Amino acid sequence: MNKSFYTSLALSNIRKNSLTYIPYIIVNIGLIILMYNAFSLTLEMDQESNTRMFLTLSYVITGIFSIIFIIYANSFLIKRRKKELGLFHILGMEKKHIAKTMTIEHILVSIVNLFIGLILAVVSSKLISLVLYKLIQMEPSYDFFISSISLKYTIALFSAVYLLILIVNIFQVYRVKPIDLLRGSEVGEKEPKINWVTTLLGIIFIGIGYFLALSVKHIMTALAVFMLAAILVIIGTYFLFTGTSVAILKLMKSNKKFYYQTSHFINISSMIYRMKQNAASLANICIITSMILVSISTTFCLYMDMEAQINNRVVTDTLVSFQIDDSNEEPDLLVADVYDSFREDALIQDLITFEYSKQSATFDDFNVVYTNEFSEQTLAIVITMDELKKISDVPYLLAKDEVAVYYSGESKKTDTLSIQENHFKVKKEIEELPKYIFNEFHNSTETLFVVVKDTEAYNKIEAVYPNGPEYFSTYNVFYNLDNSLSDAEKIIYSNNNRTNYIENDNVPLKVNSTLISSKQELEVMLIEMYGSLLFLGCFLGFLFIMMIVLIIYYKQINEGHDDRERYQIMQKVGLSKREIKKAISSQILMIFFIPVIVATIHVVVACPIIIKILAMMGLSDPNMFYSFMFASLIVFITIYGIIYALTARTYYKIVNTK
Amino acid sequence: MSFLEVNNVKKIYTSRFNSNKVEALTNISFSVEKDEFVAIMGESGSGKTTLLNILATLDSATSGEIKLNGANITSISERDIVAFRREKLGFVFQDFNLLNTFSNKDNVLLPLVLAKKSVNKMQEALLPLLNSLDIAHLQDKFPYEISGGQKQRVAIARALISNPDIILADEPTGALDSKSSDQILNLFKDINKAGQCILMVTHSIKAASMANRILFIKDGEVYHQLYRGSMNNDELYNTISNTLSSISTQGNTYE
Repeated sequence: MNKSFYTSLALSNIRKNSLTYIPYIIVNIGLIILMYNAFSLTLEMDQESNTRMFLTLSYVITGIFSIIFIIYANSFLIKRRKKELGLFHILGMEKKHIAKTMTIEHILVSIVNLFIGLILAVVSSKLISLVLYKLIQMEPSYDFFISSISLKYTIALFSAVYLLILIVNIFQVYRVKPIDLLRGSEVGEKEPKINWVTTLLGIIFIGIGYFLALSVKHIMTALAVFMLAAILVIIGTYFLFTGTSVAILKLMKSNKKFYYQTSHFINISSMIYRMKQNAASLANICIITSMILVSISTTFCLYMDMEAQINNRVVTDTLVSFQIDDSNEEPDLLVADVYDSFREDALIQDLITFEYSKQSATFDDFNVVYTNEFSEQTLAIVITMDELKKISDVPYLLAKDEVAVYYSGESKKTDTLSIQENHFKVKKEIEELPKYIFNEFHNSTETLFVVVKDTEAYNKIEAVYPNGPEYFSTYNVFYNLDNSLSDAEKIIYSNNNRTNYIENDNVPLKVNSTLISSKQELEVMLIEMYGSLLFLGCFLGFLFIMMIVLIIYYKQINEGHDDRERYQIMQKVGLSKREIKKAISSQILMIFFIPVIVATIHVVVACPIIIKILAMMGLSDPNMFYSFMFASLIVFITIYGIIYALTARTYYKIVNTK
Repeated sequence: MSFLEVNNVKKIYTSRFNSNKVEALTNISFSVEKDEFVAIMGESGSGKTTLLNILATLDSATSGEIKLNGANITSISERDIVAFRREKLGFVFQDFNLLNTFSNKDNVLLPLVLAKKSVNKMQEALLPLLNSLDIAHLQDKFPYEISGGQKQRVAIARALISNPDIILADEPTGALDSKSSDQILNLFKDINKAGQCILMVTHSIKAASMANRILFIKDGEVYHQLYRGSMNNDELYNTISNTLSSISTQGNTYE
């Protein structure tokens, strides 16, 4: 037998198995496109940027899932082909000939994958990078180039995976007996027994995961708890599908009135029979669906909320705040000098300056105790009436030892407010914070705002501040910059202001620390972060949807072949075509949508904790996340429904061919 | 009028792409009484499977008519045919055609479930039948857990549970060892004695020698038939054997 014989045999094998090969090739091409682009974009980005970090994450995840994915798809391909290989063997081909044919076949398909994949990857790279640059609002470079490093890396990774599965396949050919090859996937499978351990474990793991997710109080621990809960729920989901599902089905079976109805009868028994091999794919689909929903909804939510977040955090172009050293003589005069130098700057407008104290504290029953722990939930702001008058109207008068109070949280009201050992009488409750007073962390901490009568009262509090007086007060300079400056110039200008007017050897005021926050800088930072995060979300969403499509498609083909015979027998015994169609569609529907229903429950339970995490990141309105989650769910179910319709059609076709 | 009447049945297969016609059944006529156990014999390609498929309503005749218990099978509409098959016919196949996803009990109940009978009715019918076939102890096992002979008993139970007018058996002993074959054939005989009409297609002389009457089919026609008369099984066996060899060697009629 000559070489061209093997090649033509391999080619005809590929053609004959196109129903399984074509999806395999498409998914491989998709993975290669994703991999190449994730890697080349990563190399394009700044070493230190968030975008690079997220892109690195995207190619690592793509790499890992590509390996898992290709191995999964291959195991399916081989399983379906065993019969055919057995036939060749019986017809007189030796195992080494079969192995040779398979190797040629495998190499051909691998070359096609890499060739088409890389061409499409290079062609699409410009488009994909334009999308990324658009999202992070950076100027893309307009010249087209091919990243040779990414090319090499992608080829290396995929070749390695292809080599690995080739070895596995050849090993399989040599290991099996021809009679097994002939029987292939037809080996009878026993009905699974109820395994109470996995059933219980499934319920327990998911229960604990849900409980953790729902009961998290502390916003700072939310992320860690979320991770833990997610892992528990993932493990629990596998147990749920392997153990609990069988238990539920058996329970349904034991109800005779329910079980002995035509469609229930056919579906329940075949689902129980199939659960063992199906459980893992259903659990995979369920978990991947949850991941898609979470990644898409969170990243979109943050991206769309960006504008509101910026306006929440800043009121003017620039805020310079500083704390002064204890060693300053006549600090008030020196601070006033600094204010003046800002005021004299021609490009600075709408200048507002004032002093207050902004510290973390605990706040229970109107008792303020200062702490060093940021996580202590309350940001206590203390200001004198005179300072407050600089930024807003103060339509009330306070006597000595009287205060006006605003609190964002809920607390039992009393007439007295204590700050460490100082007791004040609450004269007035303030409804709303003045414009320039804000809590950057308002989603993660409560805000307590206290107005005292004068410096005397203010100093009394300063005296009991445990970390020392030089850390108690913050001096603030708010201003806008002239619009003749561009956004980029504004960022530079603000930073120059800081070095020129505060941190300069010629300025006599000694400062402990200065903090500058520029609206434009924040904008750039958030756009870059949320833009690349959204890119990552969509990228992974695409990857995961591709995985789901492949898993579902192969599952349907597999089941179609398994079911064909059963439905033909039932037809002989007296089941009409219409009833078959009904039974098939209700079964596919169940198998299809059970994972999505479980995933929906997972993400709905996860919503509160995700909102807490997003709030920590600065989400302006927590409730908007629900609408994004809802929208993602709708979009996902639409796409999933299309996949369902397409695969169900393939399934009917397989079942109905004689 | 006989219980089953087959009159001038003809079946011609035409392929879709060329005009080649294959005549599977040329002209078949015979009749069967309610209490009969009839075997149909013939070589491969003689048309006996086509005939059985037509009787089973799985295929339709090109011309001719078939009447079962007064009802004309050939004119039943496509819609009613499934119900007809379910209620009037019982099938026993060579490869059992049991479903591995169902327990043996559920395999037997399948026709009743498809007919949407109540759970009580199913239970009433099930146990006496399983007992009479001696498979009651297997009811909660699955088909892949029992032997071939036991599988065929389950399949027979499935064929009998809806009280069909006629049992159509296609090589029922083809996949069984000789001991199980004997048991299954004796079972058929007992069922027939209880008043059940059975029509069996077979290659096996042994199987055919259990019947009351044997029809020989050759080239799409009933070529010959043989009545048991007063012969015992062994005598009938020899007669069938002789008939077959004479048919295949020269085609002479032998009575």
